[in-house]
Amino acid sequence: MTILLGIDTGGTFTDAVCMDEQGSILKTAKSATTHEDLCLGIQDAINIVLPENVADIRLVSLSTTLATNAIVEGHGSSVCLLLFGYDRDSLDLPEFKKIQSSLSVVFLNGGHTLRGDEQAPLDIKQLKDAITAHASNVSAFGISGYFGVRNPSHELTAKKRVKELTGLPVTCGHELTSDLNAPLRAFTVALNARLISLMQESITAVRDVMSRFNIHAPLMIVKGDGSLVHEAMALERPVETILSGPAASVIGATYLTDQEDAFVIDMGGTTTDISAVRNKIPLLNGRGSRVGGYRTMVKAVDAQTRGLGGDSEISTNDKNDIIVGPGRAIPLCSLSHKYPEAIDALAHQIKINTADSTAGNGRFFLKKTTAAIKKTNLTQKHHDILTSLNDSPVSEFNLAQKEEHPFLFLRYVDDLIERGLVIVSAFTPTDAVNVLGLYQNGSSKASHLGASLWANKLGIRSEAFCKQVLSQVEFQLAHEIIRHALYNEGIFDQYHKDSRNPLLMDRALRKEKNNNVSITVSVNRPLIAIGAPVNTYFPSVADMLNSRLLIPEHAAVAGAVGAVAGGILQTVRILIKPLMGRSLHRVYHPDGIKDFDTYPPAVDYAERIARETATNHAIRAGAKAVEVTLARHVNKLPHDDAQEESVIYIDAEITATAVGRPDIKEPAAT
Amino acid sequence: MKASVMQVEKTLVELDIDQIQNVVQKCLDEGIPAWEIVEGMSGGMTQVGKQFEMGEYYLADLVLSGEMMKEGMALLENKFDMRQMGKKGTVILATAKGDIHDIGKNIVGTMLTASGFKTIDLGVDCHEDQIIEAVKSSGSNLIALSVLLTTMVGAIKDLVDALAEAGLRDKIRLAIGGACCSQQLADEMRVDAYGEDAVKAVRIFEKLAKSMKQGR
Repeated sequence: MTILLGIDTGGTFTDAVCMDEQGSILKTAKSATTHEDLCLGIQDAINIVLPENVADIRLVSLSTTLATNAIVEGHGSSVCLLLFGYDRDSLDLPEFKKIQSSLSVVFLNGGHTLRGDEQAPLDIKQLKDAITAHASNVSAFGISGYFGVRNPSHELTAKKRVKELTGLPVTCGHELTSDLNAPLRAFTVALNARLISLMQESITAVRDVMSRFNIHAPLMIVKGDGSLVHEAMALERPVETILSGPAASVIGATYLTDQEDAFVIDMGGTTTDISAVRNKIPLLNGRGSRVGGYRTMVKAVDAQTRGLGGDSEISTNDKNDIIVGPGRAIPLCSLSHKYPEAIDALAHQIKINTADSTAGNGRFFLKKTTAAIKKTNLTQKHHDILTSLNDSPVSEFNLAQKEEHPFLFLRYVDDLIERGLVIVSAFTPTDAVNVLGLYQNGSSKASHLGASLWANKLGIRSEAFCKQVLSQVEFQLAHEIIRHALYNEGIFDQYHKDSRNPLLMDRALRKEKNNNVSITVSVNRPLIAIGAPVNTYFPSVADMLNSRLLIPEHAAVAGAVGAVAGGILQTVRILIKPLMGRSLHRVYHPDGIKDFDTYPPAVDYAERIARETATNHAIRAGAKAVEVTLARHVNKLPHDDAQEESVIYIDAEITATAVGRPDIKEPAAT
Repeated sequence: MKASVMQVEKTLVELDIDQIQNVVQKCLDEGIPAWEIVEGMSGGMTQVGKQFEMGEYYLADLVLSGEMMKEGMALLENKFDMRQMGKKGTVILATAKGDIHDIGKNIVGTMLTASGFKTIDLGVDCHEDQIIEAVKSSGSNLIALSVLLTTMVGAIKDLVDALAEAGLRDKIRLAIGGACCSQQLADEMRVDAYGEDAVKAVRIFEKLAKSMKQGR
C-alpha cells in the first residue's frame, strides 16, 4: 500500500493527513504547533496518523506558513545583498526600509544592458573584498544584477565566488524570476536570503521527526502556487514558499468541496488568508505576490494574508476601540499551561491595577531558542534584555518597571521581537473564547485574569469585553473578505480611495439599525471556510456578508490535504529578440546569451533549452514522469518592403511548463 | 474655423514658406488665440503628410512643412498663456532610437504646450537610457514616444522594458504615435495609449495625467 503523508505546520496548529494513492483520506490529526520547537507539534500530529506499516509512507509533503509568517512579522536573519550595476537611489523602496536593520547592501561594478551586453565589466577583486568583508556576520548572500534576467553571467560568477569563499547559502535574482524590475528583484532576493536559515531550521525539524518514526520517504514542500518542490530546492528558494499555507489550503478546499467558483478563507492562529478559486483553479498573482505590505516578484496564489487569527494580539487604539492583530502572541491560556507562574504574575498585575490603572497589560516576553538566527548588529542593551529573559516568561510590567526610560526600553524589545529572538504572550481571541466557555484550551484561569485586566482598563465587565473581542474578529474578517472581493474585480483602489466607502461598509457589516439608513451587502460567491477556529467565527461572518458558507468535513486539515493533493509544476521562459541594426537573433537563456543569424534556428534552440531546463527543474523539484508543454508567443509585424513582403520580429517568448507527480521512491543516494 | 486660420492652413499645404509668418501675424493682429493658430498649422501639416503618403509630395516637401511650422511657431512662442503652462503636467517628448523623424513629435509638443502642458523635448534618435534619465531628473511621469519607421518599433518595447527594469513602469504613463503605430501595437507593447494625430495627443495626455493622479 502507498500512503502519502501531508503536513501543514507553522500556524497555531500542526495538521497531518494520510491519503492513499486513489485520493481517499485515511486518517487526520491536529495538534498544537509548538513555536519554540516545531518538532514537537509535527511529532504529535504524525503520531496520531501513523499507519501500522510505516514503510507504506512513500511521500511526506509539507505546507508551511513559516515564510509567510516570518515576512508578515518582519523576521529574518542578517544577510548581504550584492548588486551589480544598480543605482544607489534605485533601492528607494519602502520595502527596503523595513528590513534595512539586518541587511547589508553592496553596490558593485557590473550589470548588463537591455540587450544582455555588459554594462560594465565585473571587478573580481571588488567582488572578493565585498564577500570576505561580510561573510562573518551574515547567514546568507543574495545576488542581483541590472538586467540579470537578460544575462545572468555576473550573477553566476558571483554565486560561484560566494560558495567558494564562504560556503554560505546564496541565491540569484534570475533564479527567482524572469521578470524585469531591478529594485524589486533585489528585494525579493534579499527576502529569500533572509528566510534560508528559518527554512533550514524547519526542514531539519521535520527530518528529525521523520527519522524518529523511521519514515524514509522523500520530503516535499508546497510552493506558493500550490505545486510541490523537493526539500533541497525549497531550501535554496524559500521565498517561493510564501503563501505555501494558503496555496495548500486552496488546493485542499477545492478538492474537498468540489466547488468551481468560491472564496477560500483559511483562518489559522496567526494569520487569515483569503483567496479566490475560478473554475477550480486558484488565481495566481501575475504581478507578483504581496505579503504583509511587502511586494515580491514571486507568482503565488493571489491570497491576501492578514495578521488576524485566534492568536492575534489584542490592543486598543487611542479611542479605546479594540483592535485584533496584526502581531501574533502566545495566548495567555497556553502560556500558563506551560508556565503556571504566569497566573501569579497576572493576579499581581490586577492588584496593582486598582492603584494605578496604567500599570499591567498582561503582556509577557519569552526568549526564543534559535541557534540558526545570527545575533548580529545587536547593541549591549539588546544583549542585556536577552540575558534577563531566561527560560520562563517575564512580564513586560516587571521588565519595564526596572527601567529608567521604559518607552525607549520597549523599542529595544520590539526590535528583538521583529528579529524573531523574543516572542510575546498576551491576551488573544483564543483567550476570549476560553473565558466565554465556547472552547476549552489550556488554563482558563489565565484567560480570565487577562480579560479582567483589559475589562478594568476599559471600564466594562470581562464577559462583555470578550464578546467585543469576538465581534471585532468577525467584523475584521468580513471586512477583509469584502476587500478581497473588490480587489478581485479590480475596483478595490477606487473603493479605498474614498474614505466614505469603508464608512458605509462598516455600517453594512455591523448591520446597524439605529441609523436612518441601513445598508445590506452581499458576497455573491460561496465562502469556503477552513482552519480550526472557523466554526466559532464564520456563521456570523457569512451572515454579515449574506453569503453561502461551506465548511468541508475535513475543513480543519484542508492545508494538509492540499499538501498531498498537489503536483509538481515548473515553468521556464526564454526570450528571443532581434538585435536592432544587426541581423542577429539573440536568445536569452538561463545561463547567458546566444546569437543566431536567422530566426528559425534561434527558436529551435530556445525551445530545446526551455524544454531541457523545465524538465531538469521538475526532476530537481522531485517529479517523475515529467511532461512538458511548450508555448510560443511571437510579437511580429508585417513589413511591406519594396522588394518583398517580410516580417519584423519584435520578440518571441518560449514558455516550457513541466508537470509531474511526486517521485515517491527515495533516491538511492540518500 | 476663422478665415485667417484657414489661410494659415492653406499656406502650409501650398508650402509657401515666404508667406507663413505673414499669415500667422495677421491672425495675431486679429486677436486670434495662439492655440487656434497652432491648430490651423497642424491641420495643414496633416494634409501635407497625407499628400506625402499618396506620393503627391516629396520628402523634401514634408521637411519644408516642418520648417514652416517652426517659423510660424517662432511668432507664437510668447503668446501662450504662461499661467497655464505646465499646469496639466510635464510630458517628455522623444523620437525613438534609430528614427530621426521629428516633425510629428514637434507638432505634438506644440499642441501640448499650447494646451497647458510643460514639455521636455529630448529630440530624435533617443536611446531608452536617455529617456529614463529624463524621467528621473525631471520627475515627469508622462512620456510621448514618436516612431515612424516600422523597422524601429522594437524601440518601443525596449523603452517599456528599460522602464520596467528601472522599477519605473508603474510610475509613468507612456503614449506612442507616428506612422507605424496603431492601437493594436500599443496593446501588444503594453503601452498606455496610442495617438492617431497630434490633436488627439492633448486629450490623451489629459486623460493619462488624470489616471496618474488617481493611481490608475
